[in-house]
This record gives sequence, C-alpha cells and structure tokens, in this order.
Amino acid sequence: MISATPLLTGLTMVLLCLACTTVLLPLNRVPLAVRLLLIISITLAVLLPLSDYPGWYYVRSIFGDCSITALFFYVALILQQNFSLQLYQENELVLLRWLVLTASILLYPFALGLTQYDSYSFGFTSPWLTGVLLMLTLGCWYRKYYFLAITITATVAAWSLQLLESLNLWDYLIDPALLLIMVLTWLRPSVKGKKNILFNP
Amino acid sequence: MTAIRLGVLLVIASGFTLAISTLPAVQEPAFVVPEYSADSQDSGPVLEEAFISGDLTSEVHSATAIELNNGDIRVFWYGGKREGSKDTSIYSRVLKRADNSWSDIDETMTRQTVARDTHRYIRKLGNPVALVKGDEIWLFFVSVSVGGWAGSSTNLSVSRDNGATWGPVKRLISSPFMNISTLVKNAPLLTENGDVVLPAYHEFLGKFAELLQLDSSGNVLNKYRISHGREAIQPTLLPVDTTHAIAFMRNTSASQPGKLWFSRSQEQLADWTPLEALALPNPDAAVSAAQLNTPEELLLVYNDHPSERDDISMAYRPGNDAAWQLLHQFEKKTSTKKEHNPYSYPFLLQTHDGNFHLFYTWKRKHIKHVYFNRATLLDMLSSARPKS
Repeated sequence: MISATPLLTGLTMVLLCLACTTVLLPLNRVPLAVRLLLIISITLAVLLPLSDYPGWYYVRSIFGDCSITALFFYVALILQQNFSLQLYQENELVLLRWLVLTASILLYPFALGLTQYDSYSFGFTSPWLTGVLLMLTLGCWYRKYYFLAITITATVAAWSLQLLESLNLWDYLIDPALLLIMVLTWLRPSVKGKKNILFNP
Repeated sequence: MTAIRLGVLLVIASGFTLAISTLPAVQEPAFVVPEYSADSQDSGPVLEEAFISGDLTSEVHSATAIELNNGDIRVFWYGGKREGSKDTSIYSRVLKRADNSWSDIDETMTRQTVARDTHRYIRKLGNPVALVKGDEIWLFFVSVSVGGWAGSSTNLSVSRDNGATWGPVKRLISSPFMNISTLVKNAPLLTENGDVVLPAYHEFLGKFAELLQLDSSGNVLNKYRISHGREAIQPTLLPVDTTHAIAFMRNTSASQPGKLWFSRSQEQLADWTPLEALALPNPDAAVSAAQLNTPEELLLVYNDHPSERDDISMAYRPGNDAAWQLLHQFEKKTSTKKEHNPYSYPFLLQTHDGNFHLFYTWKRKHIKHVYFNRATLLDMLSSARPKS
C-alpha cells in the first residue's frame, strides 16, 4: 500500500514537486547536468527532514495524496520534458487534459456542497463509474492511445488493491494538484507530446 | 494485430477483471438503537456540578464523553494557550464509578503524535468525539495542517485498554478536495454489522452536515449528505429505529439564522427531509441531545437565544410533533459585562443506568461537568414550561 509506506509516499511527493518544477521552469533549455542537479536537489529537499519533519510531510499536508493518474502523468511528463523520452502522444495529452477537467467539474463543486447530490459518494461503490472507465479505456485502446489506456487500467486496479488510504475511486482518478498541473501544461505550449517512442502505433 | 496492441488489451482485461471482481458492496447502515433503564428513580434527586479540566492549559473547549464498559465515564476535550494555538492537545480523564472520583488528566493526543503517525505536518488539534465499540474506544478528532478550521481533517485512534494507551492515528479520507474540511462534534452511532456512522460536517466553501460510514478498520465506506449549501453544521444524530434517524443541526445560515435546524432520514440514509427550523433558537452554536424512554422522547441541551451563547439550557420533547418545553437552565449570564460566547459546546451523555452527565465549555477556561439523575429530571419535568 503506497500510503502505508512512508518512503513510497515520500517519492510520490517528489514526483509532484518535480512535475511542478517541470511545468513552471523551462528546464529543457538548460544543460542536462544542470537539470540532473536540480532534480537531485529537489528530491533531497523533499525527502530529507526540514526542522521536525521531512519536506514531503508539508507537501502532503497541502495537496493530499497523488492520484494514480497523476503519478503516471508526472513520470511521463518528467521524462518527456527533461530526457526527451516520450510516453504519450500529443493527442493523448489533449484528451487527458479534457478528461481531468471534465472529471473535476463533475466532482469538486458537488463534493463541496453545491447541491444535495454528492458525486464523491458515487466513487465508493458505483459499478457505473467502473463501467464508464472501461468504455473509455477500450476507446483509448482502439485509438492506440496506449499510455492513457494503461493509466486508467492501473487506476482501477490500484483502487481494487486499495493502494491509497482512500477507498474512493475518485481519489485514484484525479486530485486537485493534477488539475493544477494540467492547467499549467495548457499554458506552456512546450509541454506537448510528440511521437510515442514506446508504443509507436 | 501487433504484439503491443494485444499486450495492452491483455493488461486492460486483467486490470478491469480485478476491479469488477472486487467491486465493494456497501450495506446501508442498520443502527443499533440503545436502550436505557431508569433504575435510579428510587434514589433522591441529585445534581452535582464541577470544573473538571484542571489548569494545564489556559483555554479548553469541546468536551465529549463515553461510558466505559465498567461504568466509568471518560471525558475528552482539547486545550492549549488558545483555540487554534500550536500547543493544543487532546486531554482526557476518567470519572470512576466506584468512588465517584476523577483520575489525573492525561494528554491523550499531541500534534506531534498525529504528525508522526499520519506522515503530515499538523498545526493544531480540535474537536474530539468518542465511541465504545466492544472492548475498544474509538477516538475521532479534528486536526488542521494549513489555514483555519475549514482546512480540517478527521483522524481516528483506537484504544484497547480503556484509554490507557492509544494505537496509531489513522487519517480518514472523506473529501476529494485535498481531503480538507471534514470535522466532527457529536457522537457516532454503531450499526448492527459493526460499522460506525460518524456525524460530520464540512465548512470550507459549503457549510453542510453529512454522515460517514466506516468499516471495522475505520475506513470510510460511504458518505450520506444531510444538507447542502451554507446552512447547517454539527449534526447531532439519533437513531429512531434500525433504518431511520433524526438530526439536529447548528444554524449557520445567513438568510435564515437564529433557529435550530432539524431533519429526518427517509427511506434511505442518503435521503433526508429539507431542513426544518424548529421553535428552539440557535445562535450558530452546537447542541447535544439524548433519547429517553422512546426514540422520539428527547432531551436537548442548547443555547436558548437566537444570537448569543449566554446560557446553557435543556429542553424536553415528549414525542414526535409535540411541543418543546424548557426544563432547566444550567447557566445564565447575569452580568452586563460583554463576554464572547461564555457557554458553549454542550455534550449530553446518558449512562446505561438512565442518569445524565452534561459537559460544556465554561468561558473557554473550564470544562464544566453537571451530573443529574432521573429523579432530578422528573423534578425538572414537573416544572417544565412550554417554549413559545
């Protein structure tokens, strides 16, 4: 279980911080050695104790746990921006943005009390949400969006295995930090997918 | 079909087969409806008062209590230099049934303990509520990492030795938005299959009441919304039968302030009647309630004023749709000196012998304990007057 293992949780917070840095700073314009130095520095700053607690305690206190979708995307984003290793196509990034935005609109206003209906409660038990995700995943597979297909599959599998503290499928699908980073990638045209080198269709 | 295409399809099939084969089936909670005896009526009226929070901290607030299996009463509250200061901890002590004496005060939970166990920075601790579940005590309490109370989360720790030691603190995950703004104030209920229903509330953008259904490991299995918008918080939940409950709520409404909110669950726990303003006033303040001989015969402790917490009063309702009667005032501000919310956050505990322990915050300096028995209650009932 990710949340029960401090080192794993700390590493997810490292990914979140690296993803934020990647979309905020033009790292692809600096030499590789500088990039590596920055990545190592951020990793150490997040994992090592700052005063009483490790830095990732503070990051986690603000953002909560990363969703599984976020973890997959952060890894792909960091590899793409810093090491030119492409795990997703540009169309997949565009689709992922729309999916995260749509899911956020369907989830957050209602979870925060806009109406008597609470869409968050839907994520505890509903087979419908799993069904929708299955259809979406098969659609991605049909379109050869393999990164997205595998990411969504990993999300529902992780939910079944209860890898996070939450038992709610929504918490495995999206989180506010992912939404924020998705918006930032929209504002940074350099964060684009190119031809997928792993799953070249 | 390429090997990669087939491989990805295989991964999808495996992942979703796992998900579908382990889809959770959460049962609608069936409440355990408590039964109380009135076997102390043969004794004379007793009403005793005492300050019980000592002088370890300069401010104290939000007491809650449970009756242990041996009949002792364990009370919890939080205290520190002031509400929200960094030195707040959860404190506890026990009223021993054998000799009617109080134990020393324990510092039950510190923010350092919570930070260590939940792997998060913790800035302050807040409202505790507790539950006796078999041989265990479940202690729920609020903690804040960032911002004010709107940024709260709820935590759980379990004791298996009547509160002498406490297990690791577990964070309840109950909101998708950075898991913030789930708070507790009033007592949880047990269900027949061992789940727990925890009355909670949200006060970030919305201010609304809800219920969390927890399994025997303290995982949040489901949520049920009682209200929405910015109208009501701090539900006091009472089971009417195994499948229905009623809730009294603190009124936080800007458009309809000053009256106590009430709602009743319908066929499912996710369906509640629209908020109904009762005849009882509510100055945006917590209330506490207990059931007497029937589930609809109620005692309710509250502030009897639409805008000030200048008293602690108790009202009685003999049954559903009956009028409320004012039974007793435990506190009533007499001086004209301006004081900010001198009496607040009542918690009424009925023990299995049918007697009552009331705890409330007294001028933020003390937790006051009032004990009264059934004979005293009968005396109060004989002089009750209807609420206008």
